[in-house]
Amino acid sequence: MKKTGRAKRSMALLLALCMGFCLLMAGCASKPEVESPGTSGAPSAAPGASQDVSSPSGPKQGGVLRYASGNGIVSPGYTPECTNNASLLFLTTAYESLVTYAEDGSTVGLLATGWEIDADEPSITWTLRENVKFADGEPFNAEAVKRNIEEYQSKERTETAVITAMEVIDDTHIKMVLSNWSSSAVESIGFFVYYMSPKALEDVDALRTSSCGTGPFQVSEFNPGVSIKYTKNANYWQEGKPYLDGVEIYVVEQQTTLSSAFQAGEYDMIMLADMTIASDLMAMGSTASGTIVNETNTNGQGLTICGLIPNSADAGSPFADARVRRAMALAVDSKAICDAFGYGVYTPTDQWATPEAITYNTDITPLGYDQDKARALLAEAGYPDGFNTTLTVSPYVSDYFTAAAAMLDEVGIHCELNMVDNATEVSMYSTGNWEGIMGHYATISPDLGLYMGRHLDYNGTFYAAGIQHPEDHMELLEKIRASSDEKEKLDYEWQLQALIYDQETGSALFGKPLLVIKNMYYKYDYLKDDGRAVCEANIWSIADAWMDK
Amino acid sequence: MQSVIVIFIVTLMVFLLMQLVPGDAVTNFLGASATESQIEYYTKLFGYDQPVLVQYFKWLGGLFRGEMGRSISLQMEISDVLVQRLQVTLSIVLPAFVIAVVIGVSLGIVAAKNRGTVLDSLISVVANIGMSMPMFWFGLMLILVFANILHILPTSGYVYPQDDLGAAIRHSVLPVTVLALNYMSQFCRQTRSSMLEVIRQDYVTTAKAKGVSARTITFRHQLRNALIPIVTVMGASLGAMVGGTVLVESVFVIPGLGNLMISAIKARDFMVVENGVLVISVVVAVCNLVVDVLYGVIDPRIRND
Repeated sequence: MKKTGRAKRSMALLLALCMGFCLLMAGCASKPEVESPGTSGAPSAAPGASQDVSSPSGPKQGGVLRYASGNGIVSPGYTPECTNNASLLFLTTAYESLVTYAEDGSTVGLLATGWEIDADEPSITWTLRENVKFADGEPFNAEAVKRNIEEYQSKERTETAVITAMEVIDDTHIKMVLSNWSSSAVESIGFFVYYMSPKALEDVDALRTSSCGTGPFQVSEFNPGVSIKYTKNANYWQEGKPYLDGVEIYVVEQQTTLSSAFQAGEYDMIMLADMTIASDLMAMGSTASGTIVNETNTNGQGLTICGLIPNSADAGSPFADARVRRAMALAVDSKAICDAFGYGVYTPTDQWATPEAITYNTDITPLGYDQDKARALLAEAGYPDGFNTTLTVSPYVSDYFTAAAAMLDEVGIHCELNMVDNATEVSMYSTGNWEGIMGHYATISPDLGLYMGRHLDYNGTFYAAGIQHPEDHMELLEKIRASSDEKEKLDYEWQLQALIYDQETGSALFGKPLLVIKNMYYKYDYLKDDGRAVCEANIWSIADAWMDK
Repeated sequence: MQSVIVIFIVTLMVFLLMQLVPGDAVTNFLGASATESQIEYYTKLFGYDQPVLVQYFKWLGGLFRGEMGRSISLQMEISDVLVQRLQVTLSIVLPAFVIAVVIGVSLGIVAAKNRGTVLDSLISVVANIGMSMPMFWFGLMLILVFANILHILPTSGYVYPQDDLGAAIRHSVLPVTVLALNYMSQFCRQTRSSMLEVIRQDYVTTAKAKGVSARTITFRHQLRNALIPIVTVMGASLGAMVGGTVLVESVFVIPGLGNLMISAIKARDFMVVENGVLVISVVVAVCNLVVDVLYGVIDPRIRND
């Protein structure tokens, strides 16, 4: 009996100790102090500032980079099926395109060393890089380019739809005849086609789960929706590169877990979507694994722009009236939203570009923030008491849209928040089937002709079915596209920005651009690069990356 | 037969309900920049242009030929994906279930045998905490303590046992613990209450009077008679665990069936959802069948009836 009593006591004590330990450890866990917006003492890696990652010893060979984000890929090897921006990171690890972007956002050759434009014919003649081989040893030449373009065309890819004929001049020259000239053609054809070995294209099913490109790494293991592992491409054409032995990319959707795993040193680099968690990381500054660096850029390349887009196509909607759209734009204080929610990562903007981008028109008098003027415009449009409407947003970006809704409410635009998941949101803006206002959240491109075409064109795929298509806007868009002179094109792009966002004459067709979100990529300071940034969404210069640890 | 009808109704309902969800698989797969011709191409390729009931019966017909179809969002055969993901889920669920049964039933017996004592109260408190603590929160707390503070376990991820058994065990400790704790509490409470019902029965008093050992009385006379409701709860729980691990899989980034279903719903990949529901329904039906068989083993009178 005595023994039984002792056993009971021991068990009770053990249970109590376990509980106490867990509660104590949880209680001891220090929450990182989050800095108030606007205060000094920025984290060691100040967002927006470029990091000096140079090392006196130079790049080191070896190591495997472990990167995680919430984005996966469906078929990493069969490139025509990779259609969204999130795919670019995977694509550019194993594949290459004819052109890429320099750090300033300009287009530079990659698999092409040059190109000649004939805007009258119209055509582009590409000069291809010599001595480039695919991972399977097949040569990269004009025939390979032709075969890939044909594959893209068979999959109805818009980027290649403009090509009506191709002429292989020799191994390193190919001429593409276009149905009509577009100033975005070089970027569209040059950047969005990723070249696969023609031999590998004979078995598309096998290629879907592997890879065979000219890029620095090739897929060695693919677990859909979970992870993808790459190993060094022995045939890579850049001498001495890549520095890393391999790259492993993991899909981790749960943001808290992603951050915890990064802090525990399980990943070298992550991309966060949740601003609150990102701000905690920034405030933390460093962990046992090293100093946390916010990998960012300011040239407008690959950044995310957010805004409010009202449905102006519906004639019965108050937003069909430009005065109401202008009132909506005037009612929201972008700077206040950035200060409250941005933690230094958000930049207020009043145009469809980041303020540092080349297509941002500095001569425009912005619509600004003026609630009295907004009320007056609403009264003038016949809504002195305001009206009720809906603001549709996705949950990840609900914070600042909730704030925007509160500001709109102050002038009489009473918004009911409608939270939808990504698939519903895509369905809404691709069909134009949204009521009231949509919270816009998308990657921005510095080429306004390419970017705005998706919205302004009658058959554009983003919001186009839900907005008006005024003649003057369409004419300017056509001029941008038809321009074969960079300076002239830029001038038209600035005119288009003015037409949309100028204080006195703008149509506010796209409602209100609120802010630009700089990349929320975080890495440890031991992950460096040889020249350009390791990752800027559209520019994942992974061949240049190396690890100093 | 009853189970087959239930499974048929469940799959038909899921198929029809999924059609009401806004958004479609093709647009989601291609992205918002897809052109009409691209959308048309893939819609035809995957048979989404056909009437809903035609799609359903085509899928049903495919099942009889051993084909589940192809996933648009994963670009893989659905049967391959499901087998792979079910294995992962079972590798977490089964250890959690065994742990929950062993500890839960043991603690329930201890609590019942010590009714009204401090030990009983302590076990009841722990069981209540286990049941009421959200799995999501508990998982994050365990990550914080064991991965971020103590650095003794990984935060997340999954390693296949055949690749590295040690790493597989280390990666499984936290998710199995979270999953086991909740169900362990349920089994503990059920065992305690069932044991208390039989503990004062006449046959127990008779066995004591005959000098039967305490261990024999507990396991042969009391527990066996208390087992029917416990086994019922266990059967229902095992089915629920397979279909309901989504929170644990999400927190610990485990590529199991729950995560697959959530991704498929987000991608509007209805065929994956449909087949996933089918697999879960079959698992639940099998669990119920096993429970029915166990009733007969535990109580021969049921078998004779």
